[in-house]
Amino acid sequence: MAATPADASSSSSEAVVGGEKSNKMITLISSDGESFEATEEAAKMSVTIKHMIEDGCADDGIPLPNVPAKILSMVIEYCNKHAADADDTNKHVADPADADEDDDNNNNNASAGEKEDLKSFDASLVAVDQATLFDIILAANFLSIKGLLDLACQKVADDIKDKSVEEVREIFKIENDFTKEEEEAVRKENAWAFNE
Amino acid sequence: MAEAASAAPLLRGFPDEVVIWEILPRLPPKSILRCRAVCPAWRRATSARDFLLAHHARQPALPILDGLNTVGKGIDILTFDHRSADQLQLQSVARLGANHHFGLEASCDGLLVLSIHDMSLGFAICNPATRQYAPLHLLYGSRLLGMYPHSPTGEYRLLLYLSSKIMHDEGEGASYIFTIGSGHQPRNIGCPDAKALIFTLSTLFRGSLHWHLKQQESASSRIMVFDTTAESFRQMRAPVVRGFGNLFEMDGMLGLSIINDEQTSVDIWVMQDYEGQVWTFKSRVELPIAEIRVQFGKFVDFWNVVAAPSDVDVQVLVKTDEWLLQVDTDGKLVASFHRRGLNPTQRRLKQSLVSHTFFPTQEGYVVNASPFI
Repeated sequence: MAATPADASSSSSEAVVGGEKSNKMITLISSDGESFEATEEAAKMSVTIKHMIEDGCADDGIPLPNVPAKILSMVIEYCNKHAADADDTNKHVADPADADEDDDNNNNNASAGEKEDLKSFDASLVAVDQATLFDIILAANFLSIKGLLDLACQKVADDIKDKSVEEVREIFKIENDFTKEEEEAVRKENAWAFNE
Repeated sequence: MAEAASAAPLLRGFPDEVVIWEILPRLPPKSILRCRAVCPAWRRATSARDFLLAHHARQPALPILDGLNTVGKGIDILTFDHRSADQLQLQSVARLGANHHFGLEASCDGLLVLSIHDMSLGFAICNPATRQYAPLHLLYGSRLLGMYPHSPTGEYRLLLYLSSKIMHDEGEGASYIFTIGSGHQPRNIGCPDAKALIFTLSTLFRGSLHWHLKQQESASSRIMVFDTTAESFRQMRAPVVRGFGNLFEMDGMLGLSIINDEQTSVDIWVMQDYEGQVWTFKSRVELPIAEIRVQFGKFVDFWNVVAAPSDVDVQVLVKTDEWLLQVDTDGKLVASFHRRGLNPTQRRLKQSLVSHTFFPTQEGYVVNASPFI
């Protein structure tokens, strides 16, 4: 059922039958002119790219003027990992109402290890400096890759959730243009939130 | 929406919409309140109603536990998040102090209805995230069956049962609808049979309140449903099970957890087809009894087993005299908390910073003051 691998010469405007996994490679070009290859399956994790492929605009590679090479390679890494996982999930979803406990447990154990793998991969992907993290968010937003956007935004949220007001301003270089009275009033209004 | 032109961006080099709709909604309520003090633009963004509604939608619906205050009065409201790092799983959301105990009667959209265990036997409503609190002036003897948002009006309403004695009426008691903040008396909608629902927890799902009723000794049970728009009751099919069941929502579906008589296992059923009323058995969690006895020494005759659904799965909490134990879906003992008086409530809290017009109108309304500690 799988197509012959890397058949780059085949017309990319051929419609892919639903459910059939294509091994076609897509070329993505970063803002600084570097080319990257990704499987169509992985590339389609980006809804933006998916639409371009379906509209037949992907033939000569897809230029991504908003995404620098460093970030694009991380994005592609994410898509590769998660496209493979999505595939596995689809295999397990076959019988959700399966009341056979043993079978269920075996399936769970098999994917539990994979889930852990994926979790650590995700965690290390976003364990980067703030500027890079922001760039990842911008790229994920532009490319419409929901999973990556969720992951990166959650990291930012986790980083700031226990920070004090001063620390948040520091981290994001935000100017405090409150008057002293205004700031005091806000703090007083929700005093219990500032106690620790 | 935000007036982008005049205001400085929330984060330099970043579209406001990503900050407002993707990053900030992931912060817990206390962090959002702190964000308001960062600068005027952040205060505006984190105070807008649309934002607060989106923020509320993102909050996890966490099982609530009630912990005895050290003096045994008031109430300590805790939530349990099994996905948090160890020991951060049990979080105190708010503590109320009083000369009496409070009971947790309902939880809806971040609002909690409490019963007051003193001579008045009254009720109160509070939001632990905003620290707003107000007495509810219900008739003495009112029994609370459920709480729900009335979508057409946005009002919060209580479904009550009042006996005929209280209403100085002839005949049977009846169900009443009380609209919080309306200032009106509860409205009689008949349905005296609702009396059977008094001791059963209600679950709001798809705009209707649901209760699982067990029939005496038989294995049959049924589900009563109250359509909050039509204001009428109907019945739904329940799975054929033994034991006391509790309904919950998970993953967009209605679920039912049944604990067996011996309190050694929990069955989880899921209603995969709501319209067709088709229930499917999902899994059974066998408690690791032997392991628990070994680890926690003195085996207590009485323990309380509670299914604690989160947004993704059902953990099981076992409460003994001195401990709260957490068992995961595979029947593994994964965590233990040494604390007396922790009581899993079967209810869940999805925190909200959304403001409600009814609060300030209630007589006795307070913010960040007693009974909040």
